[in-house]
Amino acid sequence: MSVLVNSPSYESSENLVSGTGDFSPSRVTRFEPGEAAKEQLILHKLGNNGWGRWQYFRQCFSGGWGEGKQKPLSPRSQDMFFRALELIDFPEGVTPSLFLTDEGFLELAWRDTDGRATQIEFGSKESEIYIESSGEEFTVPNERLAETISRHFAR
Amino acid sequence: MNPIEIRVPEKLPTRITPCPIVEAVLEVRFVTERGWTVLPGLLHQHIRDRYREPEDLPLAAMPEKFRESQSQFTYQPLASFAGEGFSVGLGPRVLSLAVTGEYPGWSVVNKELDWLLAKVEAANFISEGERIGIRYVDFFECDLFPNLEIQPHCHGEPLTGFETSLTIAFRRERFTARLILHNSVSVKTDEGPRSGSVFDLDLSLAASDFDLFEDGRNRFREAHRLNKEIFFGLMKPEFLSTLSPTYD
Amino acid sequence: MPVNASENFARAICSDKFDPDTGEISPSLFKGENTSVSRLALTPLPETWPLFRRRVEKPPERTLERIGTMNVGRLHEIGISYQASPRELTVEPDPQPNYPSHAVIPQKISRGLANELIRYLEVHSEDPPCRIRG
Repeated sequence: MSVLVNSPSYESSENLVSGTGDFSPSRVTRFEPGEAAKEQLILHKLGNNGWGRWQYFRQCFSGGWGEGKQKPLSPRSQDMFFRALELIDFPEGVTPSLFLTDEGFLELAWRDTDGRATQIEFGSKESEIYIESSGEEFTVPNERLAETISRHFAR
Repeated sequence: MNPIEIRVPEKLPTRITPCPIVEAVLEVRFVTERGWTVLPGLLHQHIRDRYREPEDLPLAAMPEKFRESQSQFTYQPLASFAGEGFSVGLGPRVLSLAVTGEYPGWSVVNKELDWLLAKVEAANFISEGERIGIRYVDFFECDLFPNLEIQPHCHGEPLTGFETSLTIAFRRERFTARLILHNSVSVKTDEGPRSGSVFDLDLSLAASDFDLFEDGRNRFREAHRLNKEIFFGLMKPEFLSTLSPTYD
Repeated sequence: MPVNASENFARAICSDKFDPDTGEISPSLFKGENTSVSRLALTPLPETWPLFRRRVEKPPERTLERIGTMNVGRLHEIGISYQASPRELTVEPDPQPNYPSHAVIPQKISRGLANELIRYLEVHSEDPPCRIRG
């Protein structure tokens, strides 16, 4: 069976087509598999602000940006960020911040109740962790990030 | 995301007749520092031996600002390069290899993919891979639901004879699978439209699970293997036997 | 020839490095090497706003949120006093076409040291014009 080039390979029965066409505004967002879980996770852990910052970075920084030397938002960095976010238990009352480095890596930062900083920069191959209260500053290969996060930041 | 237990037959057919594949697409999503306007020319320099000059797809006519503001267009190709038996799609964040015409078999597709990835690597515009995936759409001129091991039920009774669409996302090894089953579709063919059912399976890997130019080829091969396992695993044996399976 | 210790410099703080909800600034503002700054002796602060807007801002993607300033001598002091890894930090002139006040901090700054610099940075907003902290 041959297929006409550049045409969608099938059309559904009209009965099964969504009531709103692709171009009509809808309050409902249909996600790719796994995306809904990410949205829920970031909203739960970082609140509307963290969610908003993430959306801002993925919408506006996925190509070249800045004065020219800055790199697009790294997909691997995003992956590692979400894997870490599942494991991190933020202390009570903490409001984390989300940043983007010039290398295109997401950086998560928060302060403890004494105002001391904890920061994690999620690189594409390794991640950098800084814990001001213990004076620790080190990098860890991404394959070992989960165990490191669990050891330091999970209850 | 959870896995589904799918009992895969010990031996998988190498071929069924007639071939039900109406769409086979291998896709790479990526980020790049290069602007869209230079990408088609950059890629064509490297694939001109096998693919013609790029043609704009309808989405390219849409104003860039509007297109960028609509997330459903992020991974859509804007240009198409026609070749013999294949077409390459290219967008600001996506590259795809689609089979056109009769499905030539995996070994031919795999060879074309290897060739294309080597050319894309040489073109050097991909900063990082974001997702790789393969999508196969199979069409059958019947209601597929009674012939599959996966069926919707209502109060324990199978829902048969209804226009039905089912989408399920699940984990398969390290891949994310999205399976869409429709029993009320129309497929355009050279011989005219045909009605029936589709088995539309997409298998994808997230950014951290592959390095496009180091192990991307192997990951695509893995995806193809899993596609076959899921396809034949969900098919009832009595239905498979009607499809003249051949085993090498 | 490094910039004199008596001078002050400015660093653009854009939306990727500043969280307006928490007021936090990312240490990646200084982390790394060849950090770009502007010499306030050559381009005073009121003129630095439009200068930075032209150079680094690209709405809606990237917007200039704040400007951070510091004395060059203070930068040097913080660098050599940083116990974990003391570093002699300097500001080196690097004028560019249409940007004569451009300079760089060439030395590689660690995350910990960058955090220290952020702590002592004077942070300014444009509207209303005021020093927010430092």
